[in-house]
Amino acid sequence: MRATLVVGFLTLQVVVPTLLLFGARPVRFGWQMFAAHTRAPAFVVERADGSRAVIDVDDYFAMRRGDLDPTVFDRFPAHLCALEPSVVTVYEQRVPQGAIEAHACR
Amino acid sequence: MERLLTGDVDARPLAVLRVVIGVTAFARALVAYGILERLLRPTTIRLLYVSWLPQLGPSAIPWLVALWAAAALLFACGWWTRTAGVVLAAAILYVLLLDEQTYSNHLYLLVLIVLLLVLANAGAALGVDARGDTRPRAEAYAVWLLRTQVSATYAFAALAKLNSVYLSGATLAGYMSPTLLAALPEATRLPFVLACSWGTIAVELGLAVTLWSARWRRVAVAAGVALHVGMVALLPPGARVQLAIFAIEMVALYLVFFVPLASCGRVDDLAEG
Repeated sequence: MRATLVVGFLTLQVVVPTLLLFGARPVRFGWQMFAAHTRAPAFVVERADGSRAVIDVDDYFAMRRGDLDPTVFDRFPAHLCALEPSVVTVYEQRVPQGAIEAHACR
Repeated sequence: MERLLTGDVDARPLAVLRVVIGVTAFARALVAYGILERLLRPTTIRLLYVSWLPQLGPSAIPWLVALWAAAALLFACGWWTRTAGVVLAAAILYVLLLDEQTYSNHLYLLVLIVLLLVLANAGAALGVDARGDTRPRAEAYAVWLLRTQVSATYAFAALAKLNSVYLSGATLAGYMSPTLLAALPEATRLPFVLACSWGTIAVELGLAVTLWSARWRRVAVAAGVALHVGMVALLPPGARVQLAIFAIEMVALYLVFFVPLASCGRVDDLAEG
């Protein structure tokens, strides 16, 4: 029983993080603390009346960890559209000076 | 190996670790309350990690945190230690899997340590359950697993950093306190960030190995304390409480390397001399 427990725990300790080393970083359950940093894109919303506002991304997260999966931000424009019916377009800039994408709310 | 699996060791160092981990888990419950309260605001984006996990409503959050905090205090006091440990681990695991924003590596570590302390019989000393026990003993194999957990945590943290972006200094610069970097003369910023980046990998790899060596253990402990104090000091204030909790967890775990495993035996053997 104890031998099985030790082998099982060692598998969790060694095999899981080893396999995760070969995938994209950062990933959970792999002890990859501070091994990668996810930068939040810049977002601007445009309302039906034509006004625009810069979004503080942190207002919409409980805890925006530095190692969040970057694909999380793919869902962010839809979240902003759903929160505020007056928003018609969400503009997104992934990197400073980079291209600006426009996401039309449906 | 058989001696390790069936042997036992002095339970008192494990009990000290149990008290520290219990108090740390209690403090972390208070941090979790703030995160969970923000998570359930209508404006917060939900990033479900395990889709089938039952979701709690806002009214249930104080109860969950109260359960976590009470179990942590009971665990620290060594009162119903095994039950409290299992409940504590379950409450933390639930929060860990609730959402991508509630996950953290030190919470995951906390779950594993609490479960290993339960297996180790860490309630055998310095607690309510231990009253009257004059020769408290703990399970040697669980102490060994606690050691391997420390090494695995440091080793994989270092190995994951062996990538071109991290080695360029860009990753750590992204995490570092902007006010701290701005306070440095411009010419020294990159060398400082590179020294911290490469130094962290070296120290983490070194700790994974040298904590096992009686000769190097004290140096390793000093290096480990310096690493964790440095992390708390260099990284942004918003992350400091959680980093301090991680630092306390890791440094307290160094205790298990000072428990002699080579001489572990059964109580019966020891009684016979």
